[in-house]
Amino acid sequence: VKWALLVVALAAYEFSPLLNAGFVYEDARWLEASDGMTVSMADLTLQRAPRLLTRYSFSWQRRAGHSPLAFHALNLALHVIVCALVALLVSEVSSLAVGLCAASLFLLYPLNMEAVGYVSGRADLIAAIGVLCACLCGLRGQWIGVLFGLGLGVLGKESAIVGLPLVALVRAMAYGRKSDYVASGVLASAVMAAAWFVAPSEAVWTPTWAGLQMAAWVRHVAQTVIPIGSSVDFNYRALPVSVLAIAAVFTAGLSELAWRWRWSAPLLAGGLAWMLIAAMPRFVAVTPHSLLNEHQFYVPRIGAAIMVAHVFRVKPCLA
Amino acid sequence: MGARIALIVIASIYAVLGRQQAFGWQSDRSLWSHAVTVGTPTYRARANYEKAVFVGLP
Repeated sequence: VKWALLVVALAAYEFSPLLNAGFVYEDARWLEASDGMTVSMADLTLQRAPRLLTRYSFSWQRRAGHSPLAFHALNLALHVIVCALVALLVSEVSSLAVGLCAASLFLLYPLNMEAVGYVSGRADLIAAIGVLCACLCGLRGQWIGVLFGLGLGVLGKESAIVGLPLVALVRAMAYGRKSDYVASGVLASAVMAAAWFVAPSEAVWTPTWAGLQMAAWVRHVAQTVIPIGSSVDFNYRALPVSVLAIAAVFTAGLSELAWRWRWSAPLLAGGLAWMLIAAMPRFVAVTPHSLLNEHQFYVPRIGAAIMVAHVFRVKPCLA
Repeated sequence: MGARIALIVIASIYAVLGRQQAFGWQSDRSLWSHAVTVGTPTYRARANYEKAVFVGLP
């Protein structure tokens, strides 16, 4: 109870600046694009209406005349739901106490502020809820629930499709079955292929693009450990090609470590693999105005919460 | 006991850093967070891009 009170007090201190926060960056574009929106069955395709659920929530709040405070409050409520689901997921592969600790740290984690304090970041929050619901249902073999979770996530943001390999990954972590690891790898490759062929690219893919995204990924992983020096506008394009190559080697090295540790340290390996799999489609989908940034790293960062369970040296309880 | 103290310290540091992040979002000068790269050519380019493309809400 004392820990819960402390977390609530720290959260109130941390998020109180949002009381006076306004709309920033792409908020205006997304909110105006959502105005007067009505939902019909014909809209339920990604091509016709991307991020349908997110935009519908904007439309509803705009029609109701909500203030920026109400928009931020809803984002914060969604973040709290994500944290509750993180607690459940980590509890499934560890213990309840560790799950609550991991969720508390995820709630307060400073770099999550971008997804919460940036109204357009709501898409990532809904995507995270969908992915986590799918993973929790996947652990219990409730496949209808998996489909529902993935559908919910994709209606929030198309990147939630990474939930497919992540469901297999959490099953592999919990049950230690080789077939689940294989399924995770196959599904991750399929999602990469989908990102390559289906995702609307804004420019032609080049190895440099992949190098830039991997450099961004490495930086975000490092910041997950030490969350300082944050910037949504880090100048990756000023990095020399040699640094991009090193980032690519580093990314491949961490992937290799995750594979090697899958039996000896499944939660550490699984958390690392989660961070990689959840971000991988961005290595091939070209969005030159938006290199991997902090709110886009919200879902991948859940992998760090799983790694907390390894820090406490708790073995998967479902194995 | 040591683990509890470590958790409390980490959670407190997170809250302080997160509050700084939150302030970054509500300040025009720190629109792109309180980042170390504020003032770089990239920052200025992004800021101009935003001014050109996006308009404020009524």
